[in-house]
Amino acid sequence: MAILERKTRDPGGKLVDVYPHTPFVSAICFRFTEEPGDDDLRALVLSVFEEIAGSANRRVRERDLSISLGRFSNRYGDRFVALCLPEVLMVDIHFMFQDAIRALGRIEEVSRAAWRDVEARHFGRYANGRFIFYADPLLLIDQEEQRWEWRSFEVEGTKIPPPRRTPLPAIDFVSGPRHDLESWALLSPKIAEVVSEMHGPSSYGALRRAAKSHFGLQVREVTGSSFPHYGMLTAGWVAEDGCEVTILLRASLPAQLKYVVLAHELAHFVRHFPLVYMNQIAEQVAWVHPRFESLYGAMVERHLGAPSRLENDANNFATYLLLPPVFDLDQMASFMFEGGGPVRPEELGWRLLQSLFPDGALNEASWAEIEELQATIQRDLDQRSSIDVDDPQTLQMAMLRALLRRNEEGISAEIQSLNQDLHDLHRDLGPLIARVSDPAAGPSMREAGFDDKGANTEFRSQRRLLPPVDGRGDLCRTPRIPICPTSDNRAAATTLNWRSPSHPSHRGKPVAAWQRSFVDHTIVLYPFQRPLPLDSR
Amino acid sequence: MIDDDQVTISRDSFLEPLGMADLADGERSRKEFDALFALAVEYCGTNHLIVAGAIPGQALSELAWKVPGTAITVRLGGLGDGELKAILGLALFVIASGVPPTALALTPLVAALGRIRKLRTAYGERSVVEALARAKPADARNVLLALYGKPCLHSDAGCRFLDGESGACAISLEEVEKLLAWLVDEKVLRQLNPTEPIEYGIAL
Repeated sequence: MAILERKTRDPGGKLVDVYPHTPFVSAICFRFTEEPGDDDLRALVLSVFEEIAGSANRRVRERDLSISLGRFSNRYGDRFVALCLPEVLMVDIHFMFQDAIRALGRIEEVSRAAWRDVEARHFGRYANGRFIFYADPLLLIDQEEQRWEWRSFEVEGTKIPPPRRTPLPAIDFVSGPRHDLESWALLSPKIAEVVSEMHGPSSYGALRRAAKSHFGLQVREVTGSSFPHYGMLTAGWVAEDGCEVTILLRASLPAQLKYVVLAHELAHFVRHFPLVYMNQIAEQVAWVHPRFESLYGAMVERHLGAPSRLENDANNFATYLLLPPVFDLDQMASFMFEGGGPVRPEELGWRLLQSLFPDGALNEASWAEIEELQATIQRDLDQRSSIDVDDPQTLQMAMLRALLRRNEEGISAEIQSLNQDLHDLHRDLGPLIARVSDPAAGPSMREAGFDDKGANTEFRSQRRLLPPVDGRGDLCRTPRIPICPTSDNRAAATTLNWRSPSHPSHRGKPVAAWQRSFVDHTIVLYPFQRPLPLDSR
Repeated sequence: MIDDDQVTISRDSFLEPLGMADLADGERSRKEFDALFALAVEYCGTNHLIVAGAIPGQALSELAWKVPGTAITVRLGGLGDGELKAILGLALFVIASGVPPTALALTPLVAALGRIRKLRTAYGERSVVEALARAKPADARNVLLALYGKPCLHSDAGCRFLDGESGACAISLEEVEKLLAWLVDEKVLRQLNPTEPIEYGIAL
């Protein structure tokens, strides 16, 4: 602990020592028959200072040691004095203080204590042979009469220590930058395995590096205020070798929030990449057949329902990046006993999660505020049933809800159900493309609720003007539609029972159905040019 | 479309986007942050800084995590003179003096800020109020300790309490007490308790 000396003196004319904030001390708590005054304690500390100064051991003698003093009472009204030493200290010096205290009272506890709990204040300092004691800054004291120097002290602003982060486990694979359903089916279980091996929440920098270097994902921070989201998972232009996947993050977020958002978007990739991939293909098909977008949108809505379903699923996975599976809240809570009662798992989850968010970081651990903290936790937990799924008000509330649900019995059924629905969506996409691509698709379109004039069709004409920019300038100028059914395989496509790699029965098996079913047809489409009919190429 | 002069703020993150990261103290409770957010939204609304409908639609190939809660997009141009930051800082001081965060309202805070801005820096009035806002508890002794021996908060003001040699404040306890009493008379501050040590809060 570096103690600085202020350039200017206090109002009493004394020097001022400036201490950094230290949340914890090593406290020797003792009881007494008659409460010692500050003079008694100063005499005690001075005797130890003199013993230290006279020590033959240079390591004992040559040091800067600060002593603080606390007076507090426990819940039963017993009064204690705590002599507080630095947390890291030679045991010889610790014993010197303990021996001196035993002459004054009975030591009840020697422990690591929060500064606030023992109501500590700086009391004295041994500065390489100089003895310093602290007095009221306004007090005028004659320095000549004492064996020690009187000073006053001030403490620099309290700083909440950054939350502890753990490194990611060693990752022994490197994925390429382009992804398709086949490569994703191999990659996503590996990412899930990495997450399952985590020992604690990692840092934004570490997760970002892993995403870029090992998972083959682009992670970009968006500095412009034109990005109104926290984060976004987006697929690039799908070509024969798949597509790039980019995670966009709002640059102005604090690093702690960026970690949470990156975890959420990574969860979308692990759980929902087929959807993003299919969406991108649908968008590319819609370049040729604008009405396809509405048809596809309706199909997605029919299969997957409200978007919050996907968000909740992503949050569920993301909680494992915040509190990995080793954090078994039930088991951890069963070992804990606090303030005369057990700690509930959800209460523990709240506390662990809270420290991972900015602004809501807990003050340093302190018994002094435990009741207030417990009341806050209870209020938040009481609200959990009323958390609006679609609008959880804060990220923290969204993640808390997911955390408390992740071990519920129904959660696995929900995941399986979503997997099945993604699989069904995948199965129905091919026939939909085939139907829309059919030159005689009029009746099909009408059946789907779209008349010939497209009165009910939602057109987004502005997106037709320019292809999406995904960093591949050449393709942007000449966008390609790589996946289109031919007339030869159209019939097969409508009957083929596709399997989604997200389906449980397909775990770990390569997916070739997509490639088998469709011959790649590259259609060169220039901006501002009407799409060419398939058969006229 | 949103131009670069606009930011989206929400309960999760608003101080930093508004350029007030120094107010984001970890010691603040969620209630206090919620109160500050409500004030920021009210201020932006009153000053017509809220841009409606600024969140665009989502393309097919995107899975976006929208800003949850009451997310609004505001124009930063209207925040140029730091008034919002001063209001939020003042609100924190008012909360610290025992006013429940939920009881805060924008109008009295703006009025109080107007009174504070009229105080004279050369007479140390402004510095005393600013030091009081940081003092815990907010009494004369802690105001003195926050000012004495420290660099002048308004170094160009020619303050009568400035020690020319050291460039530090040399105000005395008696002078602080007199200034505080005068500020109470002027209805800038209010006395929170009748006996020593007397604590002070902002008069709303």
